[in-house]
Amino acid sequence: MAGIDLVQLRKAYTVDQRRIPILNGLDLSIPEKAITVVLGKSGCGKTTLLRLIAGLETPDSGQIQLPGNQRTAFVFQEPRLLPWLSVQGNVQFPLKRAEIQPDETRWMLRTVGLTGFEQALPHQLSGGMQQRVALARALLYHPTLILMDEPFAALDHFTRVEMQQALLDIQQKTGASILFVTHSIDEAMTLGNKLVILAGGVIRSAYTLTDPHPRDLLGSEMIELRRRIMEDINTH
Amino acid sequence: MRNDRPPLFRGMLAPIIGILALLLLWHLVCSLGHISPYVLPSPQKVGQTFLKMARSGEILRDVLVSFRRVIRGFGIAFLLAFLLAVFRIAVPVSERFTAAFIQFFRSVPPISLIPLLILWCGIGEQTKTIIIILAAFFPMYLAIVKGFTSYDPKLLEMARVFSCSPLRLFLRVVLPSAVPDILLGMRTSLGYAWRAIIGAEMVAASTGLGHMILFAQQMSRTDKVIVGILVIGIAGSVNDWLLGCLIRRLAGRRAAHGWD
Repeated sequence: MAGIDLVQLRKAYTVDQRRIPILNGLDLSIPEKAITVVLGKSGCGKTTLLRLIAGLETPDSGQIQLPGNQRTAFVFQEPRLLPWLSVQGNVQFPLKRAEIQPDETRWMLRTVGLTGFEQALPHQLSGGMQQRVALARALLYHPTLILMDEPFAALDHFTRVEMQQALLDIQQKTGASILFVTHSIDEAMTLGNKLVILAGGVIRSAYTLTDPHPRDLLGSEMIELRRRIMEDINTH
Repeated sequence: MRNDRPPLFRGMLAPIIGILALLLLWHLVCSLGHISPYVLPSPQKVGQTFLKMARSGEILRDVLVSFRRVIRGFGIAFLLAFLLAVFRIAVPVSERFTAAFIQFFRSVPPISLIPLLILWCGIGEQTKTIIIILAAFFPMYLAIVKGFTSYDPKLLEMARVFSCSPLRLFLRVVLPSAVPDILLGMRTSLGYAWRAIIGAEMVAASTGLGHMILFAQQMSRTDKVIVGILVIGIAGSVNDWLLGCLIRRLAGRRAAHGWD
């Protein structure tokens, strides 16, 4: 399966009769079976980029070239759980009846640390637990592409580290392509095979990381990379 | 110690005291002798009449007749309201054509249509069923439409990302979102239906609780009229309670978290 190519993508919103450009001819190749991380300041168009790829918005111009047999999952900034369904019901929501495998559901809930909460309703869970349900829902769908919009932002440090590791394990096991949006440079360097910095509606710079996981973020190369990323983000 | 009382007892004590106080007041007013027993019979007399009518099966027969009529009309009204609300959200433009019509009929009390319905359908069951349908349809239709249109668009977006078909979106997201509004509409409409049938039976019926009251008034039996009013109130409350039980059963655990 080929990756995803975005060609000269443009998108603007109109607020109070004022046109606000978000993406200004963005070109990006998202490699298959890898984690691509998008970094950038608030309002730089990261979420818009994900929504365009997911088909939730249409670009003003440009092309989104997707493989034919794409199966896309989206982990939003907020969990977006159905309040009338249990944790198990929410996790299995995207699946058709024939696709549901109870053993796999149990394994997935164990992976995200929700064993024992199968029958809980969303309002009975903490924000972090709800987000983990959303993550399990996306992963259980067996997607070829996972779009993730700051999925771990609401989690505490320790859960966040656990979830990052779980994501890496599942990505290696399933070979899914992941497009991951985050504000955290550390998170980007921990997860990403490719890091892209979005600024002014275009890709300002891109870096490829080949280091195996787990990565030592305190190594000299990583510290240097961190400095360059911060410069790229701040100089716009 | 108060907290150790069974919840049922705690919940019922206040209403029982209220009812007893009202009965006592009624008894005192009658004992003073200023009001003729023809105008206001004593609670004892009403109680005796009630027992007599209950033993003869007169009350049960009229209650069942009215209840059957309400269930039939209410069921048809629900089916119509649900299907038309589905049509309304499936074809949004239809709202522009039907809004004035719905507003008009919503403002017309069903009871005012009885003369016309008698001319068209006679005084048979059809007239009473139509009255109940008209009384129950509008609150239910408006509540269902509100339920169908007030879902969280973010949930719909989530489902769309996972390639849900329009039918699946409706059945798994829109319909469950609408359940609280639908249940509320059903409960309101049942009350309207109960009131409407009593009115309809007073004008165009030879059986039922409405007819029983009117007939008792024509026979100058104030005690029977009061028995009828009490039975209507109790039957209406039982109706509402039964629907409440059904709602709790259908909504399951959700009912305990504000969905009822």
